[in-house]
Amino acid sequence: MTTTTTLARENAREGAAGVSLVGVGGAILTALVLLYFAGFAQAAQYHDAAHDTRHTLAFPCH
Amino acid sequence: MTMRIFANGLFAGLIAGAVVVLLQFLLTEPLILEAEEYESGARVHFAGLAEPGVLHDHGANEAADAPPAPGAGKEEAGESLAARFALAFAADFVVYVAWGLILSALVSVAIARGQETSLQNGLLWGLAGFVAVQVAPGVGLAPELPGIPAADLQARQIWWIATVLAAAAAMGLFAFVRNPAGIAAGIALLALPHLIGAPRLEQLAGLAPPSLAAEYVARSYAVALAGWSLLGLSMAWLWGRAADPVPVPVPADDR
Repeated sequence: MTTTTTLARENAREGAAGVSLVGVGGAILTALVLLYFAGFAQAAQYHDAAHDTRHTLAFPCH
Repeated sequence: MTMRIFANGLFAGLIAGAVVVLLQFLLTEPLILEAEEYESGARVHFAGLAEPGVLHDHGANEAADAPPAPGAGKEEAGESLAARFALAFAADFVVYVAWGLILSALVSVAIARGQETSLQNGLLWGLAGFVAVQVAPGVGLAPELPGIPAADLQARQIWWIATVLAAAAAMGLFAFVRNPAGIAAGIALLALPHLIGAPRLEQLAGLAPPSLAAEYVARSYAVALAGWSLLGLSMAWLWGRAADPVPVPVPADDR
């Protein structure tokens, strides 16, 4: 319990010192671009390349 | 911190993606290829059943009902199939790295709010992703085999995105706003897209047998559950490593 609390506090301190809006926003933005091409873009080359993945991972495909 | 968000998202995505590639190859690809044989007409769902009198004659239907020999589709077009798999598997990695980056960004905020990087928490992060990205939209738009007609694609994509966003917000409320109002709001967010309703054809149809589609849905969820669990677990492991009390110079750490 004590260890847990200490660890949580350490994490909190590190996070508070280092939470990076650039990192959070940048990572999410990068991810959205990747998801757009792999999961949503309908141009034939993206659709055909990612076809089986879209079906397996249950993105709306056709 | 910025680099850690990207690095942990990337590595967790690669770890989960590798398992998803393997499971996709073993579980869903064979069914996709089989469904395409129905789509192309190489197989026919009601073969032999059309003539009256043979409906219950299982002998007559054996050829049509027999499960495909393992790898039957593969021999037909060896090289193009290999290329197709390579592209699909690359796409698996792209998708899971993307989910990894999003989860990593959110986890960095959760850690800043004092959440531990235990494996239990990691599994919960993964399951939250599984619910938000697979279960919530899947209730309205089930995983689909090729050759199944569906409603307008753009409408389904919009509904899918909105549902995933709402469900992700609900997961956040359940995790961080643990009071009755937060939980009620989370349940409302989960329910709302389904009250509105997913785009759906009035009359459902499909070339492949329903049993093949059922098998496919079960396997698709198995792949997703494995992928998301592993994504969450490896995320906790990677962030836990970073949170180890190593002597780090305090200023100018954020490169």
